[in-house]
Amino acid sequence: MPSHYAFQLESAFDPAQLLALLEGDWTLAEEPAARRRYECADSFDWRLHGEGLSLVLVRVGNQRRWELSRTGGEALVVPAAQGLPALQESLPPGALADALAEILPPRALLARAVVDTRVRRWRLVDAEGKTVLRLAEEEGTAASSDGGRGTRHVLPRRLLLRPLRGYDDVGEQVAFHLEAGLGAARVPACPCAPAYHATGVVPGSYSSKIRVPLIPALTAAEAAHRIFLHLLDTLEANVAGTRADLDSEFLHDLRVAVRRTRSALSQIKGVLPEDRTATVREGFNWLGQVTGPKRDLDVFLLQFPDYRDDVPADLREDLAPFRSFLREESAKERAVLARRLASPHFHTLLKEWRSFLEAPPDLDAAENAARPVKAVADARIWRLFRRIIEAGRAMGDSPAPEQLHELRKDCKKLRYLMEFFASLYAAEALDPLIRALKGLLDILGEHQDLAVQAQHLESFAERMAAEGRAPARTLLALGALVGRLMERRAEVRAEYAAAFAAFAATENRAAYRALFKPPPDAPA
Amino acid sequence: MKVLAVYSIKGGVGKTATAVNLAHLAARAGRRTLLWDLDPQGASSFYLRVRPEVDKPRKLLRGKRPLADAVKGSDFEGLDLLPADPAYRRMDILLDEAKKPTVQLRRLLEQLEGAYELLILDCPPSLTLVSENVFRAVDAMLVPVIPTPLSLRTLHQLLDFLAAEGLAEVAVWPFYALADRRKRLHQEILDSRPDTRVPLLSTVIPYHSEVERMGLHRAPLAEYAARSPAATAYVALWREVAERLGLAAV
Repeated sequence: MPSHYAFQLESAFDPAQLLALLEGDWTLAEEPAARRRYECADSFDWRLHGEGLSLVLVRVGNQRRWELSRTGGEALVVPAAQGLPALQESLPPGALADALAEILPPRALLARAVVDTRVRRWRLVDAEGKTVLRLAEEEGTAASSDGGRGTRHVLPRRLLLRPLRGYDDVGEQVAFHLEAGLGAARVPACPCAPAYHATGVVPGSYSSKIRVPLIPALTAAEAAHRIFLHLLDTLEANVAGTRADLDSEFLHDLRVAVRRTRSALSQIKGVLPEDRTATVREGFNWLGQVTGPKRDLDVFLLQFPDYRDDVPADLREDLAPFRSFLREESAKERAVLARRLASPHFHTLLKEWRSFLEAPPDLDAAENAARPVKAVADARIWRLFRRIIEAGRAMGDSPAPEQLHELRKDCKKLRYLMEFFASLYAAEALDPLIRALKGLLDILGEHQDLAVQAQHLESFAERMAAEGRAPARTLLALGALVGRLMERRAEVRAEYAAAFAAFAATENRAAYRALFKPPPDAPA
Repeated sequence: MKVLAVYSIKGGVGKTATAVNLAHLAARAGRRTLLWDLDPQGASSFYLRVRPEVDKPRKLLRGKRPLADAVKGSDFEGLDLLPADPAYRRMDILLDEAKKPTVQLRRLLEQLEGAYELLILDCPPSLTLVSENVFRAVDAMLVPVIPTPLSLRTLHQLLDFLAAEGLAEVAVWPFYALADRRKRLHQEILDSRPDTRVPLLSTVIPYHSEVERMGLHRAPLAEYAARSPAATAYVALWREVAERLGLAAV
């Protein structure tokens, strides 16, 4: 692709002015005016932006095309079969799908901003009557995401140059005259950055990671309010996408926010008033429960390709009825969940929690409320770490599955605590500790997940059989899959002892002690 | 990328008109198409208003300069052109200097893989080292045949040559072009269906003065005489060829 040029114009483009500057025999032939729509596409968590990519769905008349560009690079242009939102599997196979395969899934591409323009068009024609350059002057407005509704923001007028292949020198010449002769300012060809700027959309603004800036002198209650508010923001940001089921990550992130809130409620002790935390805990337990069934089905659908590879080759096709079952059940659970997330109970829960968190904290409400957050964080993390080490040692090298499950829960709490309070510690000291913990957690997590998946598979198989939805060979395939999952679980389990030993190693313990152990006179 | 040559031993059979119109229709059907004008006369280039001239043609043919460097965008979305160059008159000599001279072109075309879905070669008439290179590089050869004994004879000559060179496997798709039903000879041959040894495509491109006017308009037929019988026939020919190449619209 030849490079595109774009210029910002202060006033309407005057073809005669440009022709006067060009040497030689040129004409500018005006073409019929058109309308052009750009939909700036990215995932909810800005994965493309994070990779320095920008993707636009351009619509002219009834033709649609994708334009993918890397900052400062040439654009990849591909005809588009369908609009937004779009999942990876709905992209046309080829260069675009390949470029996004490692970046996008399982997220969907959404329209993050929409630009509508009126376009005046010209062709620059040489002495042979050959078109060598296309010019388009665009005037338009931008709106955030949904395009039709919401406020429209006027964008600066632009002139776009597209030299035809093999005529780049003409493009350069015209660009030079526009800049030097007509004082036009060169701007990026992709219209998304100005559209985001005009609509107030901030690329990269959402992340599922915990990012709460705290300072050690803050009271524990103030810090707790900030942490909970951050989690509540994340939860609320994911409600609409979960209800519409745009992709499976909305529900996943929503559930993580719920789980982190529940963990924080139990771990940040003696900081918020007890009556309040009891009500909220109850509400969030409910939320954890009602969001579970849909997520379980999502996980099965996401893992389906792997499951397929896990059963013997001659049974693979027999898993198809299972996939249909999952899809049907997922559609049902989606409707149930959408109702729950639209219920007054849900809205009241979030509303009351928010108004409590946004009010100034009550520093007399609980014993630790007025203490410096750093002291409280140190004490909680140190205590939980020691509990994990003691429990792990007591379990020995071949613990019961329930013991591993308990250990996993504690490890997860520890990880959340370190993440909530991360800004209080030097990253170079904290990050290795989180990584080491993650190594152990991965094994404990997989061990537990495989057991849960096997259980679910068995109950799905029973239901399918009872409802006459599974041929015998499908049940055989599911049986084979359960067997494979249990084998994998045994393999994972064999790795546990070494993983725990690494976590409980002298250096790791010393590092925890150095970072978190409170002075001997500190209150517990 | 599918490679289609429009080829005839004999000149003046409507070869360039076929190459340009098919390339234009392919691009209009959404197929990224490149037309390579291998004929030093440069008629394809002329029709598409591109100067028949390539910077450093020798380096290009020896693979020392990327083919993509010499590509020109046509006025039509999705259709690019590799223009002709007078130096192509000596292409035989250039190819003969290389190692394995008969597969030089096939090697060169590897560069274009992925960039285009269809490459159409507008070949010079003759039976030379250039044509032999073409035979070894293509998925199929589209051969226009005027319904006259002489034109049919050149088709047989081509088939004989291919058989003698061990290239009998090359797909040869002849079709009648410049067919003029007012001429008794044409009419007789169209009716009597003489043995062509390989099956003819079912489309017949009729003689029509609008085709000759391509040189005045310097544009494919569909751009200025879309409803003419010849333009309609080219659409039918494209459908037949696309189907056989696996490039039909889904």
